[in-house]
Parts: sequence; structure tokens; C-alpha cells
Amino acid sequence: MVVHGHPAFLILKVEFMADVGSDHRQTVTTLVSNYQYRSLKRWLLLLATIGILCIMVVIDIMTGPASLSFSEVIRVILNPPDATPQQRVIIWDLRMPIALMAICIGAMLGVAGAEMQTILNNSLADPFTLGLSSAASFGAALAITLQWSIIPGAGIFLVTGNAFAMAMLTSLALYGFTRLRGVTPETMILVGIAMLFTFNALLALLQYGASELELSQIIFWQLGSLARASWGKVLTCVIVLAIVVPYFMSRSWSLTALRMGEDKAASLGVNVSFLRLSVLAGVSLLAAVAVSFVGAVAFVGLVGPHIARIVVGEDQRGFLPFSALAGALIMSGTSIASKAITPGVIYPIGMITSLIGIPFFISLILSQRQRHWQ
Amino acid sequence: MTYALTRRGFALATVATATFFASAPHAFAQSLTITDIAGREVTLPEQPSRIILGEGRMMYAVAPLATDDPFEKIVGWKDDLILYDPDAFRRFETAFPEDTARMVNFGSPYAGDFSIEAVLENNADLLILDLGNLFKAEETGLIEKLDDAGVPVVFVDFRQDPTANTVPSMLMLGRIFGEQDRAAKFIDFYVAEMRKVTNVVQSMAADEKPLVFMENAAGYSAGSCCTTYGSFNYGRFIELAGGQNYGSGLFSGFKSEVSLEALITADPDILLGTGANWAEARPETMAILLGYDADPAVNAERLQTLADRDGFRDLKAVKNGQMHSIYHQFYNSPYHFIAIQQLAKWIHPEEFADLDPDATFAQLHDKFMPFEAGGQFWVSLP
Amino acid sequence: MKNELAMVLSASELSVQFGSRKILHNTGFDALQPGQLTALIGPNAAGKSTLFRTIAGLIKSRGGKVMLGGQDLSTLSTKIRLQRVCFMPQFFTANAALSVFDVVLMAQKQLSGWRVNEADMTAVAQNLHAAGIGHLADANIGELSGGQAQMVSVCQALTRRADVYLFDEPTSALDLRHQLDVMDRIRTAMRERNAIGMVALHDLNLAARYADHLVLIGAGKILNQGPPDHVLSDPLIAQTYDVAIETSSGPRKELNVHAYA
Repeated sequence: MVVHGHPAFLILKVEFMADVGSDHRQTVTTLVSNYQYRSLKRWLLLLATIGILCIMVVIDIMTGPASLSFSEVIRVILNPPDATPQQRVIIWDLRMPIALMAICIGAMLGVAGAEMQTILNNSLADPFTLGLSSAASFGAALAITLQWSIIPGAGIFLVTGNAFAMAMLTSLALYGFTRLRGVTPETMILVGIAMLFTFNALLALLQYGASELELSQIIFWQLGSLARASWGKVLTCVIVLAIVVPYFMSRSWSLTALRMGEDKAASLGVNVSFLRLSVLAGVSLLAAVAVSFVGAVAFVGLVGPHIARIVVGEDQRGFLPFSALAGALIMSGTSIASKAITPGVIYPIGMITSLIGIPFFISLILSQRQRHWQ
Repeated sequence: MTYALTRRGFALATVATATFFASAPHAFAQSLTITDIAGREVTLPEQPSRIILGEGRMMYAVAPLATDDPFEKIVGWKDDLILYDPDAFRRFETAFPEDTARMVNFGSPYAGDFSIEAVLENNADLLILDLGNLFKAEETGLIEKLDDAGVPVVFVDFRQDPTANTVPSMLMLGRIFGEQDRAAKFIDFYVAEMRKVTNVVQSMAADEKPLVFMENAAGYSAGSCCTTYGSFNYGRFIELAGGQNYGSGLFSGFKSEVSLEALITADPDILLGTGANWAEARPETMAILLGYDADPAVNAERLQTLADRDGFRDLKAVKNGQMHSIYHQFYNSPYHFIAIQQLAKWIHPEEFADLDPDATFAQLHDKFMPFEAGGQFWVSLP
Repeated sequence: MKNELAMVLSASELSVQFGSRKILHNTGFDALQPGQLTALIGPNAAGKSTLFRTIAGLIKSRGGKVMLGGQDLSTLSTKIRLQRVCFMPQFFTANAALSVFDVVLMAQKQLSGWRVNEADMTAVAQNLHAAGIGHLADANIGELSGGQAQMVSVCQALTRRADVYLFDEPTSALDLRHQLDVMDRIRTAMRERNAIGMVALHDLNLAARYADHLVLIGAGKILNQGPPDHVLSDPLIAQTYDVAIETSSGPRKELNVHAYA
């Protein structure tokens, strides 16, 4: 009986065939060490990116209209009772939640985009293009203009609750479409885009009757803003990430297999429809929470995974964490930029991510010639 | 044959001349050519009597002119007065129940288009629009189409640049409503009350002007801060009242959102906010409900709640009791001189110790309004 | 050691339909022995792929069963079943930012465990080298030619350890040399692992040369099975393909098949 891949046997076999290939052995070990080298490179890149992210967060906390020196900031963080109330409010209530919120949201959108692209086999999929962000904007506008609550008794969480509920309902609808016979991932993208246009139209309708004050709220919501970050929201984001990401990571090989085609994945034992459903649920949760807290921020879920794909490839063990990191980097950079343009004035972050994202998007379309996608 | 002055001929000539002279004033008063606030020359073929107001809140301007029967020549409006200043609307309703009931509703002012059909259906002979709608009206061809249908459009402004445009707007409205005398009287009142402030302020040096931050619609929606004015509208009111408007130094536009951190860093001497009765439209609002039906006790509590917000309570303005709220709708009416007077009192209490905005407000109602003053239009921290 | 006699694969009364279309009509095949390679031959749309999928459990049959070593495979969970039955689908191209090494490694791991250890990597390297595509290890799978991609697909199948291997047309895109190589590898692997191999082929010569056993399927029914010379000389095959078939002995004593339209 053949011994299955036992290292000892392999060494034996290699020695037995010594005359054929010290050559053979050379090649095998070369292949293995090449792969190990590449894996190592990936890990180092990941670590380096985490390092850069930490620096960005620090810069974010350092940026703002109040000019506080580095040592002052450190002092306020390490020894809050010592600082003046203004400094405490600025660092602890304003800058820190915003900086941490930025990386959490970036990570959530990056992961959501990465997995949407994986299960739908389309590099243009992300919460924005599938209409989830528009649905959330519409839910928020419903709350702002008509005070209609989708979740009964939402109270002060009216806007956020509505946004979340609309995003989840839209995901459900998208999922419902996949249950119809004959629906492929391509069709799902088209359905998502149809949702996007539908909700944008409904949004325009709501804006039609809104007051001046309501309008400015809706617009700021549509373009995204980190200004309403709070420790509670940061904690919520961390919890959601802690629930969803480990689940996705545990499915790494199955998700990688999906990219080889449904047939291949199925033949390896992947329950394709269940995987799609559960991943869609996780992605919806990530996207809905993210969008309901900061508004419709475009392109992060698209560009983050794209960067990850170029840098570490699509082995999900690296692709997923790197998408999260890339998303976090983008959001952190955007947060810094939005504060730096004119100190004091708040610019909607969605505006900045769009400005960065559109050239990226175009280069993505142009590079389709490289045929990364079926 | 000579033109004989027969008795008959003379009688006829007399009658003809008399008729000619009798109809002359009427003929001259028939058509009206005015230059509106947008600089457009508009000819009204005759005194309009079926007017549509582009914003219900234009009644603030119409009421002083046609005090006894402000709705006489008005057929309809957009419903912003009802939505955003229900207190004032109720005053009008109580005073003129049938008139307010017959007002045709043309929708919300922020909804894009004016329905041309609806205008024609109501046989309107004039449409008065706010200057902010100029671009949209031109772009959508509204003006052209109404022109073709024989309905002129004129623009007024009490919002974009109220301190510059109120006088010409009131003059124009005076001519439109055939109330030039009343318009002149109102303008006299306006100018006199404005000069009570500006005469004193114009000799002040820059360093005598404290830093003032105006939070637009403070507390309108929880957790968001803050929209403020540039050197326009309330920002300009602050400047005219002898303050340094925070927004003017930061950006050049009409309004902008600034971060709470910026406010904390600036630590203004005086913190202002606007408020109005938005609670009927948005029950969960934390704003100060100023207006004709305001409840001072409620507003005092609400102001304290706003002062207790994170980051606000440590501001020196709050600690010194220099936090105030003032009626939001002054931003879009010809009565902003009252706001400027009250702002002046807050900003320069000694220089304006003798100024009495409450009295001014009462006088405004006595002379020019179809109902009495009442309610609360500003409030301060104790 | 397993009882070799018991590890046979057989199927009976399989019926599969999609909507109203019947693909397999109450059909089955007799025991296939371990260590042997069986070629599944038949015209297009005869139901070869469907039969494979049914054996693997990816498609459910109405009634009937697939038996492996005396056990009804439908009693196993999908996961276990697919560990015992390795199915290589017909279509093999994919576009992803993955290298050849990555995808074969993925098959090697077969979704179990997260970490990759030395043994896994060495097994994959061995596999690639034996297939002669070691030089493609770092190549992106989207950049491979059709033939190269197919060879990677075969590697993915062979890197797994199973009792039954089902190859759906593993040589369709390959050149002459590689066709022979791949068939040789498959047959050797089946012998070494004492596994049951089934290969769906269009090329009757390849089938005749490498298969120990032939199964003929036509219009959703298995019509004939047996040693190659028996099946190829039986008139059923000519009927099924709608050609005239002659066999002869080749220069190296192998069985050659000639078809005439």
C-alpha cells in the first residue's frame, strides 16, 4: 500500500531515485523554498503594513485645528486627569474615536469588498456598487425627512437604525435573487446596480420635499463623515469585526477554492451555496454597520481588495487580512487629509475617497486586459 | 370749412377732454416697470392682484405693507410658513381664517420645480421668487415659459444678503402691492433701528470686537456640530452688531460645517445658536423652540442641555453665561434689525445698555403687524 | 490493510433529471476493481459528466445507489464522500491572482487546517515536478495556456488521496506528448495507490491503450462494459457513435481503433 505523503517515505523515495535526480531533489527543494520565501515575504509585508497603519493612526491623532505637540498628546493619552478639560475633550472625545473609527470602518469595508468580490467572482463588487450604501443612505434620509423608523422604537438611533435596516434588507433581497433558478453572480451584480439606481432615485424623491436643514444633513450623510464617531460606535465596529473576520478566516481555503470555479470548489467538498449565503450575511453585517455609522463612503471596498490582490495575491489567508489593512490605510489617510485641507472645516470623506478612488477604478477597468477574472 | 365752436361741438370737446383726464391717472397706473433684486427689468401690465408667493415666509414682508388685508392679492404660496414657523402661521390663521384656508399650496420651497400648470390654473398674474431660485428658474426655463404665458416673475431677497437687499426688496414689494407709503414708513423704521446699532459700531476698533460663534440650528439633530455662517446672513448680522464672526475668518462661503475641535480651540467669547419651533416636524429635536408660542421654561431647560454637551461645557462662553439662542427665521425676513439689536446687546452690553429690542419688537407689531407681539424670540443662559 | 476485494466501485439504477430533461435513465455499472483504470466512453451529451457527478455525490440520483467497498456512498456526509471520491471537472481555466503552487496546495490541503507545513509543500512540489510543470510553480493561473491549465488541474486531482478518481476529459487541450504523459501518470498513480480510476475520454485510441476496462454510455444509459477489445469489437459501440469501427493490432502490440463515418 502506498504511504500517503509521509515525509520519511518521500525522503526514501528521493534517495532511491538518487541517480535520476539529485537533480530531482534539487528541483523539489527549490520549489519548496521558493514557496516558503514567498510566504515569508507576504508575512513581512503584512507586518510592515500594520506598522505603517500604526503610524497613520498616530498622525491622525496629532492632526487637527488645535495645535497640540506630540508630547502634549502623549501626556493627555497616558495621564488624562492631568490635562485641561479642553485637551481631554479634544483628544479623548474627538480625535481618538475618529482615528480609531477610521481604521475600523476601513477594515470593515475592505473585508466586505474582498469577500463580495470573492463570492460573486467580480472585481467590481463592493458594498457601494451592490447598492447597499445607497440603500443605507435612503434609510437615513427616511429618518431625516419623514421620521419613519424601520426598526420600531429606535429613538435617538433613528438615522443609524434605519440605515442599518435598509442595508440588511437589501442584502436579503440580493440573496433572494440568488435563490431564483438560473441566477449567476453576473446577474447578481446587475441586480445590485439596479438597486443602486433605484435607491438613488428614491433618495432624490425624498430630497425633493426636504427642508434646507434636512437637505444639508442628507447630503452630508450621502458623502460620508467621520465626525460623529464615538467610543460606543468604535466598540460596536470592533465587536462586529471580531465576529465576522475569524469566521471568514476559518473558511480561507474554501473561499480560495471558490475562485477556482464552482465546480472545482464543489469537488473539493465546499458547500458553495451555503458558503455564499453565510459570507453574504457576514459581508452585509459589516457593510451595513459601517455605512450606518459614517454614511456612504465610496471606493474603499473596491480599492482596498484590489491593492491586496496586487501585493499578496488571492490566497485568502493573506488576501483577507491585507484587504482589511489596505481599507484601514485608505480611511486613515482620508481622515488625515480631510482635516488637513482647511483646519477646522469638515470635508465629507466620501468626497475624498471618490477623488482617490476614481483614477484607481479607471486603472482597474483598463487592467482588465490582464484577465484576472473569468 | 372752419372748425366752428358750436355749442354742441364745445360740449363734445369738454366731455372728451374730461374723459381723457379722468382716465389718465388710471392709464398711467396700469403698467408697472420695476427692476427686481436680480437686476432684471420686469414690466407688469397692470397692478397684480393674483400673486403667488414663492415662499410662504414672504408674508413676513407682505404683512407690514398690507397690514389690514395682507392676503387680499395673494392666491397661493409654498407651505414653508406652515412647516417651519407654525407659530407665526397660527397667528395669521387666527387673524385671517378664511384667507389662510383658501391659500393654494404649491409645495415645498426646496423641492425643485415650480409647477407652471398650477400657476396658470390659478390665473396668477405674478410670481414672486426668492433670489436663491434664480439659477434654477433660468435653467429650467421657468421664467421664459411663464413669460410666454403672460405671467411675470420677480425676485426678492431676504436671505442671501438681507442687510443689503431688504430695503430694495421692500420698495419693490411696496410698488407691487400698491402700498408705496407703507413701504416707505417701514423702511424708515428699519433704517432708524438699524442705525441705532451701526452708528455705534462703526467707530469701534477691531480689537474691541469679541469673537462670536454662531451655531446654525443648534441642537436640531443630536450629536452633530456645527454649521456656521461665513460673512453672510447671521454672520453679517454679528459683524454689524460689533462682533468678530468666527466663520468669516475661516472660509469665504455662505455656510460651512466646522469641527467641534475647531470650536473648542477657538474658544469664542460669545456662543450663539439659532432656534425655532421645529418640534412639531421633528419631535426628537433638541433645538430651542423660539417663536410666538414659545415656552420660556422649556427653552431655558433646553438651552442648559445644549450648554451641557460634551466639549461645550468647558467653553469660556458657557462658563461666563455668554451662551444665547435667537430666533432662526430672522435669517429670512425683513425683521432682522431686531436680531441685530439683540446681538448688539449681548456683544456690547455697556454700549447698548439703553437699547431695548423687546420694545422694538413690540413697536414693530403695533405699527406694522396684523397681530400682537408675544412669545419668546431669544433666550440666554442665566 | 484494507481488503482489496471489498474496495470495488459499482452503481445501480441511477436516474437523474434536470427539470423535465432526463439525463441518466435507471442505469448503473458492475464492479470496478481497485488499481485499475476504466475509460468511460460515449458521444457528446451521453451523460458522462453527469454520471461522474452522481458518483461524487454532487448530483442526487432519484433512487439507485453507488456502492464503494460494500458501503452506500449516499450514507456518507458530502465532506467524507468527497474525500473518498476525487472528481476532476471538465472545465479547468480560472482567473485569479493565484499561482500554480497555490492552487495545487489548496487541493492538497483539501480545506482542512489553516497552516501549511513542510510535508504539504513537499508533496505539492513533488507532484508538480513529476508532471513536468515545476517551472510553472510561480506562474499565475490566469496566464497559463489551455494545456498548461489542464495539467495543473490533473495535478490538483492527483495530489489528493482518495479511493476513487474521476477524470472528466483530462487530455482535451493537450498536445500529443502531454496526452501520453498524463494518461501514463494517471494509470501509474491508480496502480500505485490501488485506487479506482475512471477517465472520460473522446479519443478511443487513448482509451484502448491505457484503460484496463471500458464502459460505454449512450443517451443516458450504460450500454456495455468490459475489457477494451471486447467493448470495441462489439457492434453496440458502432451504433452508439454512429460510425463504423474496426480494430487492429499496432506496431507495439497495442490495440488500435479506426473509425469510419
